[in-house]
Amino acid sequence: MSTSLIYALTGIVIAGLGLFHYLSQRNILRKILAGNFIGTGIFLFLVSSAARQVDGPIDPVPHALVLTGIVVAVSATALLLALVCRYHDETGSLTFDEENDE
Amino acid sequence: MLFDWLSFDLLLAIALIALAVAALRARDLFKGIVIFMLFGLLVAIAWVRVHAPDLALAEAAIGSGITGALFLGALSRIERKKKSTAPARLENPVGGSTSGAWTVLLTIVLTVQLALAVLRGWGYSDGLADEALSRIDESGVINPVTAVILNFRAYDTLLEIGVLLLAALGVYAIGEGPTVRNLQRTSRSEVLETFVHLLTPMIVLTAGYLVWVGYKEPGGAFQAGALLGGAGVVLLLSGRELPVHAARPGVRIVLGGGFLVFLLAGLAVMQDRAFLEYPRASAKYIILIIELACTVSIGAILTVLFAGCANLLTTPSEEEGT
Repeated sequence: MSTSLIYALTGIVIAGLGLFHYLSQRNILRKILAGNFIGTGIFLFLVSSAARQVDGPIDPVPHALVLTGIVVAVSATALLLALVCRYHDETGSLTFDEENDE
Repeated sequence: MLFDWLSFDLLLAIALIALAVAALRARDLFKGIVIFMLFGLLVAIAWVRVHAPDLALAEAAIGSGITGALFLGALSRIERKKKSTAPARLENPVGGSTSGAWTVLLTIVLTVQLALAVLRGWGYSDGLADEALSRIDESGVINPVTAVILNFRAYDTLLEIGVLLLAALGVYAIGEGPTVRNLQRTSRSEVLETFVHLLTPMIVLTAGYLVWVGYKEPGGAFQAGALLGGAGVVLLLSGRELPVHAARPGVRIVLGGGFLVFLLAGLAVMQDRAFLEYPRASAKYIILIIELACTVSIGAILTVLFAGCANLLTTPSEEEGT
């Protein structure tokens, strides 16, 4: 079992955990946090795949994709959080459930 | 062998999964965010283990630093807003009431399928490594990741800088809630002041070094910009008033400068070649100029994004009053 395979499978497990919580959480902030875990898991998987040949060359293309991906992910998170804050300002709620809001 | 790297990898992998579970299942969201930041630091170590030092630099600054600061800023803003209502709502237990079984099933099927696909196809293809590495001489830089980001796939990167700019514009558009500016310079301490005084120049120096060294070693505009963004967050958190609202022309130039310089550089070479296809002789200098402009813009945009989440953006009229 090679190093890159260990981290690729770890990334997939983390993305799976993130996906589960993204779908099952009702609090929007928690959904965004889970979305960040999905992203990090996918990044881990992608970059591990760049190093899958033990002695071969490292593929720089996934590295470049993930590097820009990390920065885009943080800006998307910021936009989402600003939207959630505004939503909370307007409605006083942190979920999209109608019956739970007062 | 005294130290076995494989068992280190397995330990780190288990720690990553355990931290992910702990962060996602934490009853207190604040605790979950702090664990997420710790998770980001360990991911940075994982990047080093899969030979991605460029990503380790970016992850340490962004994944564990700025993203966590964004969440904490938003959380504290929301908590302050709803002091009157019961805090029980944030303690949302895990597991949706409506979609439990289907969610579990879907997640397990997807994860297992993905893992099987990896196990089956691992090692079959070289990817684009040979193609990229064989033409590295034409890119004007030595670090293959920088070559891909700013030369071979420059078109993608240009649009990604555009995405960052759009996110900042979005935060400006929605960020101005009913309350403004709640980080006052009230809680100043000598320790914090000295720390900020020492830290900020060091961060700027390191960022400059990272841009410069990015042509041959791990580093570049994204890592340096992330560091500058971190410096901006530290300054805002310590109560400094940074000029972050969009009514100032200077702010607009700094935010849009990276995208603009990138675009102009792409257009400038179009006399006898394609968009963003730099001439080989001057590629190094074009890339350096683009990287410098993008570093400043990325740092400024990340600072504005944090200011938006923590609700520090004031409207122009209120700014004039202060």
